[in-house]
Parts: sequence; C-alpha cells; structure tokens
Amino acid sequence: MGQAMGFYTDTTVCIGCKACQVACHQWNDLPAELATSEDTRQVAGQNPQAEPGQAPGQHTRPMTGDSYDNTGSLSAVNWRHVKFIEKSELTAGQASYSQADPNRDNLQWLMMSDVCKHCVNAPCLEVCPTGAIMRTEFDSVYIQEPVCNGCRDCVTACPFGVIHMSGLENEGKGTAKKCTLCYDRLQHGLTPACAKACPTESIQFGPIEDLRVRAQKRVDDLHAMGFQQARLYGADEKVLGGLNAFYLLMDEPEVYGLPSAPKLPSRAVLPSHLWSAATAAVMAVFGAISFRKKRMDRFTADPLSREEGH
Amino acid sequence: MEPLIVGDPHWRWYIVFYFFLGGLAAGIAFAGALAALFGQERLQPVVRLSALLPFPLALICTVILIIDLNRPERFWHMMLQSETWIPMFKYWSPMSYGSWILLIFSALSFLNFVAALWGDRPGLLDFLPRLLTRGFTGTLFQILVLVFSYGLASYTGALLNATNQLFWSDTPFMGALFFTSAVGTGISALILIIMLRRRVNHALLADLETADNWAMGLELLLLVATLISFGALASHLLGSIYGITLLVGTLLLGLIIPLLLHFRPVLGRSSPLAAAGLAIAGGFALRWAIVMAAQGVYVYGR
Repeated sequence: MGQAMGFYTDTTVCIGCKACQVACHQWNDLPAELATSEDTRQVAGQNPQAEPGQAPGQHTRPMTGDSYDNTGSLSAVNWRHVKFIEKSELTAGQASYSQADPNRDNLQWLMMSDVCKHCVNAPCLEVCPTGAIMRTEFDSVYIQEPVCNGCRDCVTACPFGVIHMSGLENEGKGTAKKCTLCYDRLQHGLTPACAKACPTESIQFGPIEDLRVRAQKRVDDLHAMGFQQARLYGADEKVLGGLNAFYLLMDEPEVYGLPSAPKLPSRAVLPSHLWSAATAAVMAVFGAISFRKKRMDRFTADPLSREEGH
Repeated sequence: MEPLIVGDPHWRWYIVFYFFLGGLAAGIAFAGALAALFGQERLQPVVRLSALLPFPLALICTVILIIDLNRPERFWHMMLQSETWIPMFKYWSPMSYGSWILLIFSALSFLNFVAALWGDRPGLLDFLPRLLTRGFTGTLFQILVLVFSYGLASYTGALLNATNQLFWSDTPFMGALFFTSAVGTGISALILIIMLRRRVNHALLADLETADNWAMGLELLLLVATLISFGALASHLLGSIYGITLLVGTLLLGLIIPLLLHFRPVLGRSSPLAAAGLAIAGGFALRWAIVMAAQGVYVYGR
C-alpha cells in the first residue's frame, strides 16, 4: 500500500458555505436529490413549486427546518453534508430551548462538513459479503459498483450513517454509495474536489501523518487561546483504529452526531456464537433426554391402543 | 445535540419472513436430528416429518433472500468472487458464512427430503435412505444436520449483533435467542402437524411437549436477559410498538401461555394445538419486533 491519505476537517473555520457539497456533486456527477411528496408534507405551510426545467411533481428540496440545512443527511447522492448544529444551554428550571433562549440570540452555531471517515478498521469493508468494498492504495475505502449486489449489510455496519443505497432509477442502481475520496482524482495526483473547493481550508487533504501533526498543533493553539473544549476525533487509534477523515471538534462527539465508541462488527461474532453454542448444547442435552425418556405413564404400555381420533 | 444517524438498511418483511422461516426449517431439522440420534422408536413420525419439511422451507428462504437483494441477478457474488470465481468466504462476517451455512443446510435437507420420499422402494436411489439413516454414515449425517441447523438458526442473530444498529448490537444474546426460538417454533410446528392427523400418539406428543418446554423455557430466560442487557435502552424499546409486541406477542402469548397450557391443559384436547399455534405466532412476533425496532426507534445522542 502507498502512503495513507485523507482529510483533516477543522470545524472551527467551517462557515457552512456548502462549496464542498457542490464540488462533490459536480465532480462525481451526482444528481440533486429531489423532494418526495413526504418531504413536501413535512414542511408545514410550504408548497414548493417546480423550478423551470423540472418535471411536474419534482421539486428541489425545501429547507428541512433544521437550521440552514436543506439536504438533511448524507445520502446516495450527497456524499458530503454540512451539518448546522444550533447549540443552546438549558439552565435549571428551564424546560425547553424556547424558554431558555426565546429570541434565539445566544445560540452557538457549530458547523461540520460530514463525509465517509475511511476508517482504518472499516466496519463496512469488514462485513461486505461480496468483496465489493475494498481498500485502495491510498488507504481509503472504495465501493466497486459492479460487484455490489445491494444486500445492505454495510449500511447496518457503518456507525456514521455514511453508506446509502442508490435508487433503482439512478446510475449503479440499487448499489451502495458513498464518498470515494475522489479515487479517480487521486490516481492522477489531484486533490479531492471538496478539499480543493473549501474556501477556508476547513477541509484539508494530505498524508495522514502530516495532517495529524498539523491538527495537534491547531488544538494546542486553541487551548492556548482558552478554548479548552477543542479536541480531535478519530486522529488516534481509539476510534476504529483511526479515521482517515478525522475532525477537530469544539464539543463532545455526540453533539455533532458522532459516536464516541463505535463498534467493530467482527468483535460481536465470537461472543454471540459462544452464547448460542452454549445454549444449543444445553438444548441438545435436554432434547435428547426428552426424546430418550421411557414414559411410565398410562400411554407407554401400549401407546397405539390408546390412539384416539379427532 | 444532533441525532446519531445510523443508516436505515431497509431490512423489512422479506428479512422478517426469512428469519422466521429459516428458523422454522432449522428448528424442525434440529429436533429431527435429535430424534434420529437419541429418540425412541415412537419418534419415527418426527424423523420423517423433519426430513420432509426443511428443504421446501429452505428453498423459500433462498428465494426470499435473492428477491430482497437490490441486485438479485448478482446473488452469486455472495458465494463466488465475480472477477476470479474464487469462493467468497469471510469467517468474520455473518452474512458471508451465513450464505454458506444456508447452502450446505439446503443440500443436506435436499438429501434428507429425497431419501424420505424414496422410502423403502427398490431401485436407483434405494442406497440413499440406508446411507442417511443407518450405521455410521447415518449417525454422521444426522450430526451434520444438527450442526448446520444450529448454524442456520443462530447466525441470523449473530448477523444482527455484528452491526452498529440500535438494539441489534447492544446485546450478545441475539444468536442464542433466535436459536431457542427456532427450536421452540420448530417443535411447535411438528406438534401442530401431528395433532392435525386423525390419530395421535400421546406418548410421542408428550415427548415433543417436554422438549418444547425446554426450548421455550430457555427462550424465556434469554428474552429477559436480552432486555436486561439493553440497560437504559430497554425503556426506549419497551415504550414502542416493538417492545409491546415483544412483551405481549412473544413473552406472554408466545411463551408463558403455551408453557402453562402444556402443564395445565385447560382447553382439553385443543390445548396442544392452541399452545403450538401461539408459540409459532410468538416466534414470528419476536423476529418482526427485533428486526423492525432498530429501524423504527430513534434515540438521540446514543
């Protein structure tokens, strides 16, 4: 394997411009995710109209009602997603955020450009039963569309909600989709489209070892400035052996919708089978005893003579 | 706080039916192998039924699994690497080794099915019943059936354990729970079929009920252990339709009442029928509730 490459995302300088999302769509030729009738119903009081050139009934997504987010989450066509997290502190006696901050003028706005983490121990790659998910020479995790049969096991395994299945009408219909770390660009010595487009260098691309040094220095600087809550997520081996797309966060991972301790699926297999094998052994013994028992009741002497009809 | 968004795998009705019917096939085969290896002569009807039923069920399971794939024409990628045609096998991935277990279980069931249909007739296949039921080869065959029916009944639980989904990955007991449920529903299905016949051998029925009691008793213990192992998450489950289904459909109607009916047959001759029917429905409720709960309950900041 060649040098491990990846992303270091400094959330403190993300301005939520979504240039990364647009660049990703453009380079990977991803279509816009159109609103479904369900989306339309969910936005009370809004009735989005089709834009010029769109087929009737197809609408661009309305605002989700979740801050400035209009794509909602990562999906089969959104391989990057900028999260807008409105954080407010509740104090004693305050039951709701509206009570705590009725004018919404004390919110802390955390932004984070989410993407596949290209885990060193990738749960999706581990469980994939067809071998469609592979590791590239850049240590990134890549889905081979012609091999994937759409079993969705990778979706259950990913702790970050990254992988989604493409619709049956899309290219690569019914197969698993996610960020490729712009594998095609990397093979030609180019920077991934999102990192290239990021105007604030919130998303930085490079050799993982270099990025880790750079990120640690940034954390030290932030601590020196008094931001003691600054921390790295996924830069060391604690999270799935390390993430090749790691983050500088300003709060607990859960605040950003990231799990503190994601699980490696294979670690559950042995305990599960130890319990089931022990249970099977007990069941086999009791089953054998049940079937072996010589019944001394009134039926045993001559069971057939006591058969009865219904 | 942002919700922790784990992807929705869309494992819905096909998977529920696969888990249920696969469990039923495995449970019947497990009970049949035990009866063949250790049973008295009176258990021969059980041995014959357990030779006939699992293969058609396994066939249905295979079809269901293929239909459930987004790209069914690529189902064989589970078994062979599409580029090299080298067998595809990951012992650490339950879906991978589970595919092989289903294949081998189906092959064993097919042999058993053909042998049972052929019976004592002379001719081309008269060696098969002898080979599979008598002597060393017969014992070996039944041990293989026992092992692979255990594998089929339990790997589906391990498959759920080996994820990052809510509830599925929060207990180590899924495999054991699914296994006991498979054996319980399998024996209940055998009781149901035997009861529907015109003549009932009561000693045989008592043998099956005793074994069923052990399976249901173990399942009851494991269901409680599973709920306890969820810890604080249990309240989220029990407050949902899935938790209520588990408590009412599986625990009460599918386990406690059938056990009571076995010990106190208050419904007379209908008691074994009612107990078997409820136990089978309870096994289905268990699969539905567990499969759907992870995809229908959301817990913030988990």
